Amino acid sequence: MDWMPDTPDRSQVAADAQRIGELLRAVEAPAPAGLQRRIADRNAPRRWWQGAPAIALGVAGAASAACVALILALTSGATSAAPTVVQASLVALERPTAPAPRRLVATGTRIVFPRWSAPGWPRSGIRRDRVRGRAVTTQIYGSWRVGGDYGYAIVSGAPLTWGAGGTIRVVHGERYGLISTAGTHLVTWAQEGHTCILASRAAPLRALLALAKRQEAGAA
Amino acid sequence: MPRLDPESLAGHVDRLYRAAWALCGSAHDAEDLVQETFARVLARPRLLRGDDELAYLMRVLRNTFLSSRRTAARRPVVAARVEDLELADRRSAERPELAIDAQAVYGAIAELPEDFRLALVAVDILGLSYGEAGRVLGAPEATITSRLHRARRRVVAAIDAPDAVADRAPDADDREGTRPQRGLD
Repeated sequence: MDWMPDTPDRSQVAADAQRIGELLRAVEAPAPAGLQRRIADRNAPRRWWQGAPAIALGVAGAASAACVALILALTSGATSAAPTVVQASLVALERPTAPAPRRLVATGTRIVFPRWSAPGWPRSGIRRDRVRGRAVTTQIYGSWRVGGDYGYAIVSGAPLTWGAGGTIRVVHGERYGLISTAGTHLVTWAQEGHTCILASRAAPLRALLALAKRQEAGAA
Repeated sequence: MPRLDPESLAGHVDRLYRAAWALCGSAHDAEDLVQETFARVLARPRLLRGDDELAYLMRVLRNTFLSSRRTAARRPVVAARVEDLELADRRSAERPELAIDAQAVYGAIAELPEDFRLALVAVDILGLSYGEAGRVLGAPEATITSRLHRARRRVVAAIDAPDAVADRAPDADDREGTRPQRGLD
């Protein structure tokens, strides 16, 4: 069977048009400040052929573009101080500094760590760190089921950028980032506006993803 | 005949950038493509022949994209490169789920056969009418309509049911469009 029939169903066509609109509106990214600035710079010398009034307007336009670029740059700078997922994951792979309590809530959030207390999911401890000003709460698990130790870190505050290349996996509408870098496997996702990271040097990505899905589904 | 006003072009940078991202599949390449497009447009005074500015920019963007593809200087990058998103989407620093969406959506568009991709970019991203898109892309309006429907179906399926898309066999739709080339260099 063809993936799409020759005469598409009208309701399907309408639904797709609406969905595309939603998707594109959801990802309306502005052009990077650097690009805006380069285009404004390139545009500036061209204005002479439009005459003196255009020069005046051009100066105003360039100033305006420069202001926009400056604001974008300052805003970007403000957010770039936050750690990336990769940076935050480093503490998730360190040794625990305290035993695991009965119930652990990530600092600065209301997210409760899963216990995964069934056989094969022992918790080996926790640690609390600050990475670039962000609270990172980590529960460390040691499990033969996933092939080794892994850390589950929750970083409070606005979700983080990844800081490395990776792939996206959408499972039941939830989006997970899968990253492999420097011998470490990471699965990251956003929960209640915070960043969750599962990190391991031994466990494969698919095992971490399965754990992440368990956590999201509340089945842990 | 109206003359293209360089001053007003700055207002189109965002939309053109998103269009370029969808064409290339990479935020980095999109920056290069937009910059090159503006370099061509601003190289000398331009007269608009029946196009409005956006349609004209789409025409130049398309030509720049195709010529750069021909010289293999650029190629569509479909795999997610999240560092792209950090640079490209300011909001992604605060909401990575938006960043993931951006690369997923633009990446899915970049996976489309070329004719489908261009139709979707012209109409859904740049906001051209079907008629304008047809004139810019050199195709009858009915063809644009057909390509657009198929393009939307594929992108929606890729985003909402990626496993189903990955599993599907090559289909008859591919005969009309030109699949994106990979690994040109």
